[in-house]
Amino acid sequence: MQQREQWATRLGFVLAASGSAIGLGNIWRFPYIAYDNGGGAFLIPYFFALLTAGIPILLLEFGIGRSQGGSAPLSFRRLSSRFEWLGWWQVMISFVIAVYYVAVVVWALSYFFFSFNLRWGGDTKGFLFNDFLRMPGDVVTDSGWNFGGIQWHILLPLLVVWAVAFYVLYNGVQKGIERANKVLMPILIVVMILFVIRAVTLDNAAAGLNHLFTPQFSKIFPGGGNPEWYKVWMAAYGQVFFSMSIAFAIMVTYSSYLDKKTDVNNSGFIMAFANSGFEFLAAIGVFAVIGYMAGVTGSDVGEVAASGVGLAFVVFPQIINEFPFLNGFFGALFFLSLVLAGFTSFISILEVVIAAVMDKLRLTRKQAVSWVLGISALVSIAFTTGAGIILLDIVDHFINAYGIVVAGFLEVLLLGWFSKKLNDIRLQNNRVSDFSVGYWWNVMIKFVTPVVLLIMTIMNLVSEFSANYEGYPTHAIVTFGWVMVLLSIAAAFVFTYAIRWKDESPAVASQEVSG
Amino acid sequence: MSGGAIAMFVFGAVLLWGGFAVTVGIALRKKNGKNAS
Repeated sequence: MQQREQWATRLGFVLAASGSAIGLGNIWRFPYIAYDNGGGAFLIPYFFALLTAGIPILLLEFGIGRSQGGSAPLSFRRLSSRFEWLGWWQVMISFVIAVYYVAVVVWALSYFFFSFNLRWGGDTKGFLFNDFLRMPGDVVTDSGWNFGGIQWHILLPLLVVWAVAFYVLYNGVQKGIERANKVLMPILIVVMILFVIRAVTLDNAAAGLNHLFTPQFSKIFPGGGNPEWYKVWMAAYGQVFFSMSIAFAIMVTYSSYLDKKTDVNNSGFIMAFANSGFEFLAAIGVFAVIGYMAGVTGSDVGEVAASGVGLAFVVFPQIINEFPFLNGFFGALFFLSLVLAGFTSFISILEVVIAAVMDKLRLTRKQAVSWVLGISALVSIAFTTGAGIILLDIVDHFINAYGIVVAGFLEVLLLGWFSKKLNDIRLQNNRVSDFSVGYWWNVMIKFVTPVVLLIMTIMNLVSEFSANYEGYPTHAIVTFGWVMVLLSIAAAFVFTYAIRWKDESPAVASQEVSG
Repeated sequence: MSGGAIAMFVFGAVLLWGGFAVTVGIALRKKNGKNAS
């Protein structure tokens, strides 16, 4: 058997796990979610969700990976052979995310270079859709798609990003992933701090921060006049859940490279606070800049505030245009932070797939990296077409709502209720960690997290069947939404039951939790 | 910034950045303790 790779240091593991969790959503999702859901008051349900769901699931996944020492399918199989398919489903979810996530990293990389001469001009929305993405006007109608062909100016940087990812992953856990994170994560922190310092020293920055932090307690508690107060709490759970890279096998995979005697409890808390602390910092920078823009245009902060692709590639270029001086430098800082945050997450998503095929097919790392990245790169070309952004929007929505959330629900359900090893995992974690977690953790995994994730799924389904997502035609929703999710489940069953383990030794069989 | 906004900023900073500092401090103290023994 091949010797399993390990992190060289605990710091390397924490940086890599934090690099995975700190992604695009920390910069472009959290600020708007907080602003839109009670402002400063949102921090209360957010912190509550962090302690009752985010950290408990993270510690569960760290415990599974560290104690079982395998990729997600192998680790779940070692807990019970009946659970292997869940590991494969999470691997498939990672594969789907990887092939579109790379496209956003490429857009950010392109905009990083555009920053230096403000290439987007005055009409930033027109530049994004017409000049850069080249999305056809009739991209998706009731009668079908107009993909608009491959955009070579997007494909070329896409190949560059794949090549860099190949280099990092080909070099393995210590010399590739750990080394990359030890270099890129400190740069990301410094870049974000510089961005925030510049942002808060702008005119009218305080107005933006006022909008972000002024608490609207009436929005978050029952009886405050907001009948949909519970949606704020679900938004907090959703933000914590999507932000921490949990439930799609990344943390199981990364912690499987830990030495068996390495702490997991405190590392989990450090990673969770690093991730949340970073998005808190990013929110300050983003809303300070939005306050400045509102002042320049004489509009309300709420009219400028946005999230996602619109914030990054339409609103931010507008703001950068209006900067008093060093526009290009500020723009470069912002887009560099997106590239760094996105890339460290991207390699963690790919590592999930690589580790899984290495374990099941007994491939060497070099073989697995070549196959996985080769196939993924080919599929990702679909997102370089003129219809790429629409495809991405649909796939992203469905894989999050019905992939990650449902897989997360099944994970806590199976581990909490259908496996007798939950308490063993906690005790094993406690034995090697800086501090112990009490029985409250079992309660969170068995009761709180399944209930929250079930409610989230039901709310998603209700909104799904009340109107087509973003008003897209039904054929587009069915093909790239529902069918894609069903294919990921089918592929998981194929990998579980149709492909045999190359190594049938006891090492891959179900076994007791061992520390 | 309003008083409420400043209070919530401090609340978030203490919980999130403070939480990070405390947990890193625990890790360093344990590491130093192990090295000393």
